[in-house]
Amino acid sequence: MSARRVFSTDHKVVGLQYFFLALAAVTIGIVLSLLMRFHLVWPAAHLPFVRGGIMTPEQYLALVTMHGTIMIFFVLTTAPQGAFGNYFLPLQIGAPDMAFPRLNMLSFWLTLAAFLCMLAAFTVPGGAPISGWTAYPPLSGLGEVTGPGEGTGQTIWIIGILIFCVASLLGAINFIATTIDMRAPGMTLMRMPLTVWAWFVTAILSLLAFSVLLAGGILLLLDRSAGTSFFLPAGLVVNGELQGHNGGSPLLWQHLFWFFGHPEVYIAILPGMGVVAHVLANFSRKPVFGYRVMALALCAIGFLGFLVWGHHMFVSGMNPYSGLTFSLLTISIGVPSAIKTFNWLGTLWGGKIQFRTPMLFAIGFVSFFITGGLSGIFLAQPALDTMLHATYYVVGHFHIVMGVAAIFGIFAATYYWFPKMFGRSMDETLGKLHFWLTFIGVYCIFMPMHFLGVAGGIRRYADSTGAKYLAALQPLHEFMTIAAFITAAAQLIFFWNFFRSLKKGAPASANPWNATTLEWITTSPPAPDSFGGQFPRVYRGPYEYSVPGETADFLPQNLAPKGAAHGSGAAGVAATVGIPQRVYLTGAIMLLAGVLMFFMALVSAEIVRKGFSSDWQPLDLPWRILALSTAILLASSFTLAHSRNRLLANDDAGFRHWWGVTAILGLFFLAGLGISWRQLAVAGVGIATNPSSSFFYVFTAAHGIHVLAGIAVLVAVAFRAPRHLTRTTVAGVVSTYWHAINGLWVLLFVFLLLAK
Amino acid sequence: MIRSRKQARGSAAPAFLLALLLTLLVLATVYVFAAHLFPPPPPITSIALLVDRQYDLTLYVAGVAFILAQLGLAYAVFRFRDRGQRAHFTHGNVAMEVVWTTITLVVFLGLAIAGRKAWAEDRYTAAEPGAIQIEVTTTQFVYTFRYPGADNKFGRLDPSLVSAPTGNPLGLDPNDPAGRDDIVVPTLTVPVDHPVELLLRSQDVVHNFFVRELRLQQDSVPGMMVPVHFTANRIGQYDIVCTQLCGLGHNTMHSFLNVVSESGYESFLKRQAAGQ
Repeated sequence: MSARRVFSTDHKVVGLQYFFLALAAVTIGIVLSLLMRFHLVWPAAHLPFVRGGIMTPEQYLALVTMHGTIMIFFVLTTAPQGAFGNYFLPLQIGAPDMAFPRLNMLSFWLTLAAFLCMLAAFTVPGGAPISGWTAYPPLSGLGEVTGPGEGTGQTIWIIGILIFCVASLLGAINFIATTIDMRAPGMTLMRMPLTVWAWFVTAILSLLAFSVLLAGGILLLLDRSAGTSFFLPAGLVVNGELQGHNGGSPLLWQHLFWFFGHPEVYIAILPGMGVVAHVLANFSRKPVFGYRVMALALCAIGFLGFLVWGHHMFVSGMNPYSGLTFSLLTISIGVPSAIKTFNWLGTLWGGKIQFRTPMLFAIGFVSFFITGGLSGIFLAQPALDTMLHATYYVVGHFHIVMGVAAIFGIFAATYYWFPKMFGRSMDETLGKLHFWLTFIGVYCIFMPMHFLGVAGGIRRYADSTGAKYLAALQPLHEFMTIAAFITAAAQLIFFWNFFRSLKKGAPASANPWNATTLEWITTSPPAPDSFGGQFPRVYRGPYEYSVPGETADFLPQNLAPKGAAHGSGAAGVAATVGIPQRVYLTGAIMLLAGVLMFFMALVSAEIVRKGFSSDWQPLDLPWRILALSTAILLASSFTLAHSRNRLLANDDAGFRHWWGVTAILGLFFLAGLGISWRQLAVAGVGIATNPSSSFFYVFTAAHGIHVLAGIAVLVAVAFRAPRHLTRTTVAGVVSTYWHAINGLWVLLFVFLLLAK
Repeated sequence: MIRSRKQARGSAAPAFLLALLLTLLVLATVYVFAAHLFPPPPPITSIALLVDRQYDLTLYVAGVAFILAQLGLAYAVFRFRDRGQRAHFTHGNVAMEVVWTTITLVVFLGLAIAGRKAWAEDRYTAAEPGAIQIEVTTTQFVYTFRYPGADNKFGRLDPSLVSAPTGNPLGLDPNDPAGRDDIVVPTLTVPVDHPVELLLRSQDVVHNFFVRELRLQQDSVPGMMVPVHFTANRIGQYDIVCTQLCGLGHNTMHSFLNVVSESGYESFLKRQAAGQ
């Protein structure tokens, strides 16, 4: 493995790197869950990997936290989007690569860094955090005093999450720009495979959701380390010690977290929905039933997904009236979900179903989605949630609908695309055996959880000694643990099949499944430039199977219609397709959308924090220096506009001159912020003095970083012209960013004035 | 041609097995729910009864949808297995999309609206006047209940006075006369058929108050006072458990709700008042 292969910018290599990262993560995640399941049934047993041999309650909770974190972030977010999206989105739209290959590489390496950071939490004194993947403060906000793992372990956990957020945001920008700007000629939106639709919508969700988690995570970190009180109220007495916080709101964290957390569920499952529609059509030899409706339903689920976070908070102490609103919105998501289910069934109906391994997993997905979707309409009702909340019913529900269903989507994708990715086939017999055991096993593990939950079995309990009635439910636990071990063992078949087929699988042809989409028109595995220099032109929709009057039962998307221009036979455009210049502006706009979302999260946090507490004190800000800085920043927008005009007028010296002036004005702005900080510090106002000062420091620091980044780009471009961008593009992109960031400052400044 | 016939033959077994498994799934699930193998305990309030009715209604609706969808899937995979036929070419059917979207919308929203009552009865209304007020304080990993005593007034609390080892777990201010007769106990005792209002607060982290028989869960949040109310109609002892992850002792956080007769409640108060 040469360094060039490891640090590759090729989307196919990056995709595989994400895949193997997810494979490592899922292995660890499964081991953690098996340890938990074993402990629940045989609490006194000596266990491997457990410090001291016998698991303590805090070790159990650390496993709960880390199992959830690893599975949700590093498996369910990483594999469907990072791995398969990266590998196949460019191929399926006929693009040479992702829009920003180096950014793509960076996303992966940041994700890996986040993963290693997360694992490091196990090794620090006190161990991994015990506050669950939701990390509710005050439990997660006060340090070691609230429990083991809440010291360094929790800090490392938050840092890992923050790195992961950044990686996901960069990835999302890349996916969106690629889908918008890099489609092959003829690949209209309504000819995109549903997989592409799903990755596209998922990327938009990632962009909007992870920026909110990033903001929330930073505030939580400040509460822990800088003494602020965003989420920590006054008068906390923990373990007999009075804590020095004031006026914060634990519910604020829950709102920020679930505003991210619910879309995150769809980030995990939407790509699976895309893959399943794709695979069902392929092996039913039928077009996807209601393609347009399917694409629209993906968008509808994505949109509604942002309006339902409150259903995680019915019993949190939130206003009960909002409970009913969230309930109706949540139930509405059942409508596009049901549409998807009906259309999957419609795709199977009248088909010629071939039960290859990917197809079996896709059908399994549909079954799980039905089961998990229907169990969701119980939880969507606040009245029923008061009985089922935080019981095993919830655990069963989300494992089936977003855990296992998403995993089945990943399995379907793996078996389906293995021949393309590695040029060899996986063994069908072993694949099917893997399916049958896993399908049965999963239902045996997770269906009983619903029964357990209805009877009042509570999740996140290290054992059943707390209340007498819990002991009566132990037989269910025993059954589930046995099922879990058998199901986990069945995964060894998959691992064996996978790694053996890498070396010894039967060689695969370019299109072993007789499929229609563009990834199948190139060799298996594809050449480094994907299409061997022959970039495709698209003539038809993605799922033209069994078209009447055709001898073949599938028509590839690049197959020219009869009577159309006949040419070399390979109906492609032999062109040196590069990365079009417009991707850079699209990317910048997406970045700004993420930045805006980040600041909106902070602004709404301030509004909530101010509105719900009595400790808010107006801050005597150094208004003069701030106003002056604002004026300087506004002036820099004019100098940059002037610089751009000089460039367009081919006045190179003028361009450079005003470009430099802009950078210097930017530095003056930062200096102005620095002076205002200094003046506040001299007046004794620190970040933790009052919530208003906390927010002021956070806003100015966050905005200052964005200005600093802008200055860095200005300077970098002045000294070395970027390789792939024309100067006009550079000037356009930088101007867009700079003006938007300046505009953002004006909004923040007005907001600070109003908050006065 | 030979290849496709071989493939077609290979489709019968998996099609049959899938259909069989899906049918078994439906039968097993229906059996467990219909036979009430793992039932929750009987409800002890009129609102809990409403919750149960809504649960049953949802179970019927979701159950019918579950049976139809899973069996529909089973039928489709069996009926349309590869037997060498050509697939039916269609891109969909707008009329059908409209029909099933409308049906789903009406059924689902109808269900949510029907479920409003059980929630609103409890959460949109204040406790009846004359309800007995009891303060519930949660700490890692203990419930503490406070009754206002004969003066019907809770004494002032001061977090800096909290000291569980010296017998002041709530931080009662000894200088406040209203607090002198406050009753502080580790279990919750209420009279039967009498409205009760609990005022939930938390000293350290977020906890929860869950009694299955009340069908009631409510988080107790530091910095907030969350009221809930109920009228228990059956004498007995019920488990109170914590369902919000609160630290290493989460699974041991437990207390009892004792629903006693009116006279039993009077004597409980007297006994406690004498003991204070």
